[in-house]
Amino acid sequence: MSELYSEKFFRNTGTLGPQEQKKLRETAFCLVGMGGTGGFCLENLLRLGCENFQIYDADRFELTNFNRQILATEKVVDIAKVDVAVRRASEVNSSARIRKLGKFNSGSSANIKNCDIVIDGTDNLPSRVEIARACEKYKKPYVFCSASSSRGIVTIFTNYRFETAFQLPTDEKELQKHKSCSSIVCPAASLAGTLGAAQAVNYVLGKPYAKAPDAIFFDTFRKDVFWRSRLG
Amino acid sequence: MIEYNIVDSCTSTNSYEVKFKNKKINLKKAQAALSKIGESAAETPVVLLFKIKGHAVSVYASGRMLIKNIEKTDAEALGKELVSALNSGGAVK
Repeated sequence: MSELYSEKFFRNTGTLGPQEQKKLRETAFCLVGMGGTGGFCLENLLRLGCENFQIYDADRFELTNFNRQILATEKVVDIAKVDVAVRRASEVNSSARIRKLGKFNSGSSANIKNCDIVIDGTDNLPSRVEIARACEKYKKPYVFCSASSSRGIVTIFTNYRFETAFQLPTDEKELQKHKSCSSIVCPAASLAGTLGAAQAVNYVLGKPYAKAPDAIFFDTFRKDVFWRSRLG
Repeated sequence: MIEYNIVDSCTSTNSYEVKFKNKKINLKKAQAALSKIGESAAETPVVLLFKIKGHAVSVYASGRMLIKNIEKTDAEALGKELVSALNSGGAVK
């Protein structure tokens, strides 16, 4: 491990052993969506010392992102989210290697073959289904982190079907009807991204994690923030 | 003819995005052009905010406009009007 890397991530020591830190540094993370949850997820993984990323997002930052997206600042309005994410990553850790890609679709799904784990930070169901199917096809763990209003759900799909968990229609046209957006506040987006990153790390390091159909539920505006429940 | 499409946006419910194909928007010219059909709410070097026919419209230099709180058919009509105004004002480049 380089001196610079060791010094930067020194305070991880104790919580993470040397082999675990090395493992995180080498793991290839695929992050789909660089918005509310995805941005916080990337920030967490960078601070954990992860250096190998593949990121997807076709959007540019706009004013309506400011209420919840950590990468959204006045300097980057109308700039591609993946470009901003790469810049942010290089400011935290210039050794981080990021492959930036546009929209995640069936054509690009084969790219995840090169990843160890896929984290879904998108905000609509049709995209999530596409990502989940690609993960199923290439046998990659699929980290689902979702936020809406003040609430969220985080879990990892390994061998349980995403469509079953959410009882989704199999017909593509019906699925498109689920493409809607809702109100969302920063505590929910940031917590979903943070928990998604943490659960992904648990999976990578062979520690217990929220495994679908079991999931972590939260409501940041409740007194009792967290609970566990079963999807499907 | 300037090509564009209108897609449902993910910024909030009932919002639509008018997107030019391979065209950008000159915001200075857009400010002047859209002032003829609506009221300017804010102006920055990277985005313009307008109130046009009761709808909030954000105009980005990259070539897209967001219309909020509007039904699809109304968004299509307003989108056409916005494109026409920008085009007439020489704001589409």
